[in-house]
Amino acid sequence: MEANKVKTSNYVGKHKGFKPNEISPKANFIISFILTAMTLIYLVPVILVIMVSFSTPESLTYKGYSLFPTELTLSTYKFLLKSGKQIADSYKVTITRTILGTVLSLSVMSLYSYVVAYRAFPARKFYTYYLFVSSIFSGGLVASYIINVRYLGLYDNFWIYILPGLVSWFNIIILRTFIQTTIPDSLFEAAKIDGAGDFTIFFRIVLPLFKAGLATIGLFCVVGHWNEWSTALLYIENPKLVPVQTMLQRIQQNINFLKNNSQMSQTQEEMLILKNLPTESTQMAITVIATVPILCVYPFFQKYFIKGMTIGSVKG
Amino acid sequence: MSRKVICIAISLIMVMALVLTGCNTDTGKTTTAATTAAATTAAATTAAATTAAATTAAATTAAATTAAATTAAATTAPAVSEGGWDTGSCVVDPALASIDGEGAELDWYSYMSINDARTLVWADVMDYVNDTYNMMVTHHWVEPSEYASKMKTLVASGMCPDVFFTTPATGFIDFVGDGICLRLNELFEEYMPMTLAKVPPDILKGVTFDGNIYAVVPFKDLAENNSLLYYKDKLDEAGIEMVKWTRMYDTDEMMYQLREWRDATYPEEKDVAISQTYNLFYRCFTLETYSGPASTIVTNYPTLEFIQGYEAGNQMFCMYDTPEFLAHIKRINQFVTDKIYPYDAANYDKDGVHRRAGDQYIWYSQGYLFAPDSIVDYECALQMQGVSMMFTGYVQAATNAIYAETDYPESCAKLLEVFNNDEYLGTTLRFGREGEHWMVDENGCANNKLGTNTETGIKYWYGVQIGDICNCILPPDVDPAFRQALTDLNTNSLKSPNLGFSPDNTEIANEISAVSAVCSEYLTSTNLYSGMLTEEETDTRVAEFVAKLKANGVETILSTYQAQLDEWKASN
Amino acid sequence: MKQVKEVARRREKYPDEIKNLPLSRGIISERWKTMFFKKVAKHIRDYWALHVMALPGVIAVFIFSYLPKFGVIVAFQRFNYKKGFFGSKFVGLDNFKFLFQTTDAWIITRNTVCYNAVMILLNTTLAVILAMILNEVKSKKLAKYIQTVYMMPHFLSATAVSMILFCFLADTNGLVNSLYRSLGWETRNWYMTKSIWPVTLVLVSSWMHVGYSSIIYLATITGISPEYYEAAMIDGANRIQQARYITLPHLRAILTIMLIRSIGSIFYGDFGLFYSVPRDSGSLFSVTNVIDTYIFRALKNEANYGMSSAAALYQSVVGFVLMIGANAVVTKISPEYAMF
Repeated sequence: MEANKVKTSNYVGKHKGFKPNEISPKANFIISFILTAMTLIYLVPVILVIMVSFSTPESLTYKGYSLFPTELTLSTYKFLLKSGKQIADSYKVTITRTILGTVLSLSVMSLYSYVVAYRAFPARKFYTYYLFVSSIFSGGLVASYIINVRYLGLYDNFWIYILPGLVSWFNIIILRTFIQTTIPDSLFEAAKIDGAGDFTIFFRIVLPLFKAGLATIGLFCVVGHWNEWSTALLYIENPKLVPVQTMLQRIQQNINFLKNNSQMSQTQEEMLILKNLPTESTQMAITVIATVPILCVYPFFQKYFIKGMTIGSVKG
Repeated sequence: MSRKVICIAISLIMVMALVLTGCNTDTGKTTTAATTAAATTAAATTAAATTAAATTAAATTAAATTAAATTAAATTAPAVSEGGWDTGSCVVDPALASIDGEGAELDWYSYMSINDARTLVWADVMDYVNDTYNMMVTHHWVEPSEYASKMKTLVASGMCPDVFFTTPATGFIDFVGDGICLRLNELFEEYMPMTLAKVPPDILKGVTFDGNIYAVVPFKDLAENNSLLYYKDKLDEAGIEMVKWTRMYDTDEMMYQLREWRDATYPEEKDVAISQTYNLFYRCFTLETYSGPASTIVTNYPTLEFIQGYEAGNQMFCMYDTPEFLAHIKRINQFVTDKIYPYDAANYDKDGVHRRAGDQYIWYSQGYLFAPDSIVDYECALQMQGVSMMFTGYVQAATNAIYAETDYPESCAKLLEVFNNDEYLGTTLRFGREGEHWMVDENGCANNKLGTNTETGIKYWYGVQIGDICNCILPPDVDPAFRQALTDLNTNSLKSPNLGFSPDNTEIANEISAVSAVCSEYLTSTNLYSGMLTEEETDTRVAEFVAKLKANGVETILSTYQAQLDEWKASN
Repeated sequence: MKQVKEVARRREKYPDEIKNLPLSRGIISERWKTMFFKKVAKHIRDYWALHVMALPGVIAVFIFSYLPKFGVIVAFQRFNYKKGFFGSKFVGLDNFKFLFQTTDAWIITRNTVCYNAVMILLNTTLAVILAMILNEVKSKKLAKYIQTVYMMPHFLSATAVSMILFCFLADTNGLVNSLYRSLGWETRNWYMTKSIWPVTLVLVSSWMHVGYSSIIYLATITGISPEYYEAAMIDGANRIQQARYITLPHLRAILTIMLIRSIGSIFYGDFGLFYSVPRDSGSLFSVTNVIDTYIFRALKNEANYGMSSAAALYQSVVGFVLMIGANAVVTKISPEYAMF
């Protein structure tokens, strides 16, 4: 990596963070102010969601939704989080699947995207079309089910979360675009002349340089894995292998079902909860539980998107 | 982060993944090794074997009999409880049970999330079944909201389980039409005599197609029994008698009286509705519906209040194309304006806050014969509809069927007989282990507040998918006369002359989907049922609705159904 | 061809005895064969690494994407559960008819395409502008904070968004109606009023997606070398010109890809947005019904497997054709940005 930092900016002696074409302080203030003011449009609804998740159904019916609810209750969260062991198991599954899935996906996809980006490669078109044609239409749920369960043995198996979603053709195209725009061809040629093999080029040159691309697609993969909940419904029976989102969805659907079919007797505890448990608040609480972790993870990715100090770049 | 750290992290994650992969062999199923062996031979006939220990897939038809599958490790015999209920002597004759080495699998409905205690109970039950009847069963819990898609996917993939719970909503009619369900007539007589006695053949007509019985109907309320629950104290205070109603319209006058009284006595509640909205047209008029799009096509019931102009039982008609429907919508509008029905009910009072607080006095319920005591904090009473109607859809509503290509049809039949009749199984499945999760109290009821471990969440009394709902020690909140009341209900109900007729929708699939979409548009609480339309809006929209129905083929559906009904009547 | 000519040329110089002997075909084909194999060997020697790199992706796509494609045949069958995929009756295009024979066919298509077109254009423009502006903000901490906040709505479920909107538009306690009441105007039932919904839905969609979409554009802008800006500044370009001549061209590649893909999904309606946010209100169908919601409502009760497959196939094939078309147009204009 060090070998690529060829040139340092002429402005390195100037004050820290000085960019050659910074905007005037006045303009900076104006846009900063406008953008920050607009964050209210985003924050207020999200706070509303949080507040509703703490409201009682009585306050919702008599007074409506409000940012400052008069009656608060923790019963929704208590109900959702009451089976602590179950939650812990589900989080374990979700975290493992997210990390493992993202890492594997990124590896396979970045390798493939390099192949498709390398302009001098004669078989490049074949690989691109191979990918693209696979996305024309899908075989449908039952066909996938047959293949996954009868032939691959992925029923009730952790790998069902990772393997089918390993490759997404659109993410590969994005990665390819990143490679093509960030890294000039001359670099490849120079490296080849120096005798580097493709693997070396990939690991030493491409990977370090398109970190922003990897981070973007990595974020998409993380979000995708985190939010995905429908696979477990069809493929998983073991409750220890159910991710958090599916578990929350199921709780929600159970509550809806119980409310519509109150003739079924339930335990005392559940009847009590059902009497007091609001539908709307539960849905909001589920959204909150599902979203908070992602928002905590996001700043980790963010440093690749927000441009920092001027660093040296590769001389063309 | 340095590369080493990343590598170590990734290897840790991989280890965790492998652990998670391997961990599905322990829980969730029975503990007997023989059973897991029988269940894991789930490899498809043509496919390569699935990885052995890691997967326990739903049964396929090609499961090889494991000759070595002898009786499993002996279970601790269930204790005899204080109430004199001897679980050792089961209701079913063990000699009737299956032969050595046979196995069968079931797919069940589960109304509660899977929890450890419940799987433990099932382990007990499976051991008992294995022990007493020499049967090996693997059971799969599926959440009700996922059941339809899961069942259909399984069947479409060629992996239909041997015994499965089914209703029209989860594809029963389609399965019958495609030959997935096994003909049960002979099996009933030979292996399921007690079940047959509880649900006699005249009721079983509901699941008979062309003389073939295709499903096992549990003993439960098999006729529609609508009722109105009401806040007894308030009505007593007002001096108003609950009307013995047959048609929903019978209660109108009473509701107006109630409202007047309420406005006078509790003026601060004048904006709260008296009753829950009751907008289903066919229930207001006691019509017989058939499995079709939004019940558009109906017939009149003999001897009940008619929609004018159509011969009861024989002539089908589109119920939205009648002047009574327009009047019905106008009535809803009127009631909402008069604050008898709630305003914007679907969005406003989703959780029944007013009902729980006792502001709303009347609401509808289905399926109760006696007033339940745990719905609200105050005492509520029940007024049943004056007539109960048994029609095909209701009989088919919760049944168990056997796969037509199963290897063990007799075993499956015996299994269903056992679950329908064995009292130990019925009680354990519903309430858990005796002594631990429940105990018999002084009234002879299975009380789940007693016992050593009462936090488990196992109390599921109604369990139709496990067969006869009275095949157990009844819990304390169920009236002891329940069994008799149910039998009376089933025998005294008004049986539809078309019991057993299920329309075949294959030729008119397009019209049905189009009509479904139109009904979704108009028959919602934000359109026709909202009660917030003006007079002319109502006229326009209802006319629009009917016109759109006709434009999308409702008359084709009608004529097809009529032809099918006539044909069915001719041969039955 | 060259080798043949070469051989012929050399033969001219041979002695007469053997000059006119017939050429053995074997020699030429041997030549061809060795040339061909040599080419292949060379290719493998040069590019073996790339093939190996592509291999995991190829296998994954084959197993999970190509193999299940046999299932598409259901769209043309009256699916029989017992007979399965290869025994069910073939009915041609019957399963597709329900999408076109309904009186709503034009409405749902028009809604889907128009909403998507407007949303694509609006969201992309706003996302690019947001990315460019965020890049200019001096305080990086502030920029990070703003970006995180703007991204939050993307993660809200459709139900949460519908509830948020309900707070505003509810009939009894909604904010808008409360405002109307305090101003003395007549309240309206917004969930039964058609006119506000097109604008509302588009705005809600922007609110939900602009922040998240700007990530990709921000990431691209990050990769632009500052030397361009330095050189432009030296040349005396102001900020607008810099944006126009430096930033936008760099974004062109990724923009083209995103636009082509959006065009490919123009027949897909965002189900959460069009079903949950209007709360499934029947009065609004003529402005909120899109293809996906229509399919859901039509097949809700009688889930006909053939028809749902046919609907999915219809959407994907149309999308594919549109994407090819868009790609062809792009190839004509500037080939280096085309997707294929």
